[in-house]
Amino acid sequence: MLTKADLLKPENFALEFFRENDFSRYQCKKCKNWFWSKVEKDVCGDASCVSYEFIGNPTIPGKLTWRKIREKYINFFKSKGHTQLNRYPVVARWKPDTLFTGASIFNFMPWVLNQSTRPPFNPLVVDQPSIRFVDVDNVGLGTGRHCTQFSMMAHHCFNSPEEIYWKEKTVALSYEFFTKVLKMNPDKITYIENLWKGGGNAGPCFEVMSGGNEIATLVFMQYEEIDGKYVPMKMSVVDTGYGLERIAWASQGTPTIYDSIYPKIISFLKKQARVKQYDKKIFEEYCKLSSVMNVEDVDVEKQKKILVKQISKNLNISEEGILEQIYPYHNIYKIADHTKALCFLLGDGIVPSNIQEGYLARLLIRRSINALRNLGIDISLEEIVEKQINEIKDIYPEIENNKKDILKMIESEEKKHLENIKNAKPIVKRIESLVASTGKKTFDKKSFVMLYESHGLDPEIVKEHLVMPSENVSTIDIRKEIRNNLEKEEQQKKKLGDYKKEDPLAFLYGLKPTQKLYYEDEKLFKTKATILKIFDNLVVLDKTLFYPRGGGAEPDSGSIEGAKVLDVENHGDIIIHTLDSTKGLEENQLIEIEVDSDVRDSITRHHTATHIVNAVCRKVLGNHVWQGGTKKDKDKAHLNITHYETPSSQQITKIEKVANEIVKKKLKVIKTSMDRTDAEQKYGFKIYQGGAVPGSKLRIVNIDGWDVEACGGLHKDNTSEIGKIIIRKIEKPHDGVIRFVFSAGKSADLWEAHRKQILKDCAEILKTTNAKVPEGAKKLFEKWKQLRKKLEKHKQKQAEKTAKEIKSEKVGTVDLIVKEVPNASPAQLQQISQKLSTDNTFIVLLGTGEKVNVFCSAGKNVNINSGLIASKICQDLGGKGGGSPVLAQGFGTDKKKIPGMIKKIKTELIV
Amino acid sequence: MNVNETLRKASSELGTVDIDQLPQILQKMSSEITQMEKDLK
Repeated sequence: MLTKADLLKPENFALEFFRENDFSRYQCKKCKNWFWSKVEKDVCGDASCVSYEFIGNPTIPGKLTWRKIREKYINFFKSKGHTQLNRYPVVARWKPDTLFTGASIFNFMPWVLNQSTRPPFNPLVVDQPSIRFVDVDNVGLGTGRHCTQFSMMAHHCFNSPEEIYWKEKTVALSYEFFTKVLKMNPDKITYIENLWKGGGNAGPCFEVMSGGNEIATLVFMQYEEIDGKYVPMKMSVVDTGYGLERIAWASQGTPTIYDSIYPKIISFLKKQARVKQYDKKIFEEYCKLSSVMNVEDVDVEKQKKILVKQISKNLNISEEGILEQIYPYHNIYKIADHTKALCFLLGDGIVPSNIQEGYLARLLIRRSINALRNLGIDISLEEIVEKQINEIKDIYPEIENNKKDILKMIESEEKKHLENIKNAKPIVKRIESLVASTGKKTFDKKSFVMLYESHGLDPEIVKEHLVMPSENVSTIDIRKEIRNNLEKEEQQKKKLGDYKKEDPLAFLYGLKPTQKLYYEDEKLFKTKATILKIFDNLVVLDKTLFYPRGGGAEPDSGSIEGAKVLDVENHGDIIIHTLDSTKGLEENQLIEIEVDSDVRDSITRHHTATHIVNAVCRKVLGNHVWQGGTKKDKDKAHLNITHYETPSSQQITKIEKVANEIVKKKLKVIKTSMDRTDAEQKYGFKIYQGGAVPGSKLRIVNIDGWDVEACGGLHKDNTSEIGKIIIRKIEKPHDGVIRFVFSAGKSADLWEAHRKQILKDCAEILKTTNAKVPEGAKKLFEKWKQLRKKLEKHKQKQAEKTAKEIKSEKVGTVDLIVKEVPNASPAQLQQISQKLSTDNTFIVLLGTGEKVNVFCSAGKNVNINSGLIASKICQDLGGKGGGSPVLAQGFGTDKKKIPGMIKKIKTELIV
Repeated sequence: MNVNETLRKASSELGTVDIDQLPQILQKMSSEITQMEKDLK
């Protein structure tokens, strides 16, 4: 086992290449790190040791665009024997421990690195769009260099079984690319010695710096990290990362990275927002100094203030003058960055929602809309995203192919968020009342977090509508809180996992893997097997016919030597059967096992039908559709898909129709075992509909021309064996997810009979024929709505009439109204109160019906707390209530006490 | 239109409600109409 110090030993970095090319080793006078340079330097070139020297003074000639650099990079490495690998999706579906692809090496984690499978090519070059959310608060004028989405250009080689190339060639290639292809001055490059670690792997690395800009990292991955110590990996890997955007920035020397990669979008937004051209001196000074900022280490907002103060002093300009110049750009850069990230996130199959990756996409949409509002621009986010797609469609045509879906999702989210902002006032008021009713004097951080998470309301919007004082909370604080909560959840999950580890199924130790007969012959339902182990009512056999619970499928049922099988579970390679009784069974006994073929038949019909419905949903609703959980039982199945709106009845009917057409087409369902890399290269990442699958070989289920998935479940051999598919209902388990509940085969026939009865019942209620039920339902609904409206108006008139009859009485400076209103609902009491309310009134209305509805309100000149009074009244009347100092409500149950209560309010409570 | 399509259409006319609940919903609406007519008199 090696330590960090071992990995950082000078001999790990002393390359022949450096000696041959006149590089020398120096120690940075600021950070004390060692680095290699052709000319003597005091500092290493890291952004924290030197401010951005390339701003206004590019280190790469020719003002190259990111597109040109990408082309040069790929062509150079192809000419050096590398094969180009097509990009992987930014959603890392193959990787069980990550949501997003954060670097090109993620493409090979864990399956290539743990040698479960081979790399697709070796050596290879790739342009891998990546996503990093940890830097989201740095985006804009935070550091001027962080991007939520960036392209990691990389060349990789996997040195197993034999070495292809290692440190010498890797550094030589980087040097040739920068100095010969991009014509960078060799004196401007430094190679900093460092240690890289991530995802459990580690190795020495060189950070390639130029003028404060890290343009590449060359990692020599060769260790696994175990408890802070390092053990050699079986395979050593050259893992490089060349920041495409950062290289473009170095070539253009613009004040920020965004100016070099989004010039058109920025120019468009500037024009729309009528933002003045910045003062070059102020801007360049700000951007150079901001290079030292990093959200991982410091409070960005605090740092920004320090920065502005510093520039104000350096240039003798007021802080307000600086802020006025930089803040519009902060918003513009944020929009440019986030909209590009959204193209990839939504284009690669994320649907905005309130959970996991969907929530992060929603966060970017909301941040972008808020930035547009800050700029006062009246254009849709959809329009800007479309411009971004047009900018990148030549390089990433797959994003253009999904444009329709991307824009629809943006439109739908934008509508929701703007609606939330519009309706912010009543939402905030409601929560404020709740907070006040708990006796709190200030609007707390927890409530801000709740409003941000559930309604997308920034603290600034919330504060506009608050009456009560609030904690000093910013959007950044909120996001930190959300991040902390997520981390706590993760830790909790880990703890639960550890707990399970402490409670192992010890009786399984030493047992051989169970032979899975259901894969060998799906039509075999009865056989003999030997009992290997009995533990309580759990039984392990040498072989089994019972398919275990898993992948959303219910387990097989049946019997083992006459005992009923209650459950079947898979633990590693061993299958455990739970029996109703193990009486009379012995280990090593040869017994008879029998699977219920009817149940198996129904579950497999539903499983194959689930693949079909999923594929058809993608066809009808769009490419963004992704499976988000399934359950296959004997009488029905459900499929959760990611989708942004409830499908229309026409869409549901179409999905059902196309699914049944596939059944009728009698398509073969082919089940094969494939090498993981071959399957990914042949079918793409859509095979991971059910999530990441372990192992070097994948079981591929292919419904010819419609659906290919990595799936371990049991299926029919031909779609015609499924029988009729009926979609029973649609549910929305949570935002961004739609659930299709359906039945197939015999269950569908039974269900259809049940539906016929429902239709008959509806026709009878509507007094019409079956065919005219939709028309009848529509008419009835219209009539119901009209009458409700009419009744509402009627009640309003009554409220007005009642209000006119109510007179106030003077108590000190307060106009007091305390009145019992017969048969009044809380809504009616509120209406009456609104008619009577002035700045000087204090109103208590008691609506009597089955119970007593209590409503209190205080005008702004009245120093009486409605919440406290309402709480006291409700309590005395045998109920409960509360609210804010200005508005409160509740209920009581004891009507007899009303006369006494009215007297008490006037004489005791408000005095 | 087959049985399912008819019911789905009826359900969407009411704002896409659960098909299995359709008879109950229609019945409830019908009763409320009678009550509202009474209240308006």
